[in-house]
Parts: sequence; structure tokens; C-alpha cells
Amino acid sequence: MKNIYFLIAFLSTALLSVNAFAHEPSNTNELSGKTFSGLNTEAGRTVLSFHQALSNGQAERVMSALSPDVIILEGSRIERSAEEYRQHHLQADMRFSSAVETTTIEHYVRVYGDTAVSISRSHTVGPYKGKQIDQQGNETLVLKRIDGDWMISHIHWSH
Amino acid sequence: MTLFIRAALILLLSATVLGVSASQLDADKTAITEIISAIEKGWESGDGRPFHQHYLDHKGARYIESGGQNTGLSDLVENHVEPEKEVLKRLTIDILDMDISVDDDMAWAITTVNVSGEIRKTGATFDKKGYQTYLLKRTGTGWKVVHTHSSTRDKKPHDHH
Repeated sequence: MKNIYFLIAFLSTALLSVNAFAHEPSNTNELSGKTFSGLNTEAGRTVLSFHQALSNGQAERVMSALSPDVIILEGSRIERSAEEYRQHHLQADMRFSSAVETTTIEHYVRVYGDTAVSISRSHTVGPYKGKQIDQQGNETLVLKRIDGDWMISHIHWSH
Repeated sequence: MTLFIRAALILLLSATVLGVSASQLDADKTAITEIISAIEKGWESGDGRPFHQHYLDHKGARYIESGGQNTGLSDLVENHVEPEKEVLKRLTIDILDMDISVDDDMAWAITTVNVSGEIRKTGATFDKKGYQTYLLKRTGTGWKVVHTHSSTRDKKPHDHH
């Protein structure tokens, strides 16, 4: 029985050690200051596909990129699921995206294991609902790899 | 080793692993909550020290506030945090809610905030509500902020697209 106690103590210590080593920085991607980077990663391609689907008015393709429990922040409003977004603002966002012209100024995608971060800045111009839009926008996305697919689980938009 | 002892050993190990994971998650969330609280106090007092302490100063860092952004930690502290002490007579940031997600060595937090203040020169006041996104990375010296994004609006109805 003594051996079992020793084994338990050893394995517990080993597990704690593994966890502690996991705290070390896993990569140095964030040291890059390039204006566009990481767009050719799987996570990056998911983000680009999401943007394209919004501009093209492809609702199902937009929805397929969103995790069901996605949190979407825009200005001072929040939506707490993909379904809530589909019911409330998806159609308006697609109409807006397809009506104006958006140029991406900078865009970084960084992958940290099963989490990825996409940060981009864009300039949008064009007429919409009788107004001339000319604004800079910022987007922060967090993606998680779920069953091998990258899904957007957090969106923060502001302009 | 009997079957009974093997089963007991597996159960004990599972409980140990789950306990370690739960306590680690609690510790992570506590640490991140304290970091964000310290940063908000830094904003209110125009003090750059919490930013230098808790931000990962890396090339390409972006800290977004609505339509604008600061690039890099020095830009954020020297051109945004510290000057606000001179421009604003008062700045109050009330954190109404905080939701923290941890995924291995990355974490992100959403805070719901009320931001109010008074401009020193004109005496004009503002009262806004909005959200902040904090992205943090676990490093050898603890959690470090790698990106922030905040957006607030005046507390009145506004048009969407």
C-alpha cells in the first residue's frame, strides 16, 4: 500500500509540474509588427471567409463561422449567442457591409494553441441610408478550435 | 494489485486532477480580475505604472478605444493614460460586470463599464456605458495584457446601421 501512496504523490507532483511548465510563453509571434500577418493560417482563412460572407450577404456562411455561444460586442450593445445575432443584427450588418466599400488597413492573426486572435483596422466609405459613411473601424476576434474547426467565439467591433 | 485498489487509485487521481484544474482556474480568474482592477485605477489616476506592470510590451501591440488606437505600450501610457490626468478633472470607471474565459495560456475578459468624468478646461461632463475586451497571455511572470478594445456610447438610445 505504501507504494500506492508514493505513486499517487509522484503522479500528482508530475501533473503539477507539467501544468507549471505550460505557463512558459509558447511562441514569439506577437513580437512581429507586420501590418498583415497570419492570414494564411487556418484561423486567418476562417476570419477572411467570415468577412467575405458578411460582404456577400451569405447568412448561412456567416453563421457557420460563429460558435453558438459567441459574444458579440458593438459599441455599447451586446449579443450573447449566434442565434441572437442572427435574429437581431445579422441582416442589417450584411446590408451595410455590401453597400459600402471597406479597405483593410492592417490585420494580424496570431495562433496560440487552440486559441487564435484576430485584430484588424479598416476604413469604410460609401453611401448608406442616405448618409455618406466615412469611418475607421476596429475589430477584435477570438477564435477557438473546436473539433478541428476554427470558430469565432468573441467579436468586438467599434468605429 | 487488486481491481479495487486500481479503481480507487484512478478515482483519486481523477479527483486530484480535477481539483488542481478547478483551483488553477479560480487562481487565474482572481489574478486577471486584480490586473483589470489595477489598470482601471491607473486610467482613473493617470498612473502608467499598472500598465507597465501588467502589459506585455511587444512590437505590434494595439490598444483600441472605439475608432482610435494606440500602438505599443509607450504610446498608450505617454499619449493617452498620463495626458488624461491633465485634461480631465475627474474620470470614474465603474466595472459593472466581468466575464473571464481561460483557455490554457490565453484568456479574454469582457467588462461592462460605466465611464463618467469632467473635462478640466470646459467643465463639460460625460457619462457613457460600454464594454471592454482584454486579451491576456500567461507568461513566466504571470498574466500579461496583450490587447485591449473598448467601446462606449453616451447613455442614450443610438441608431444602428
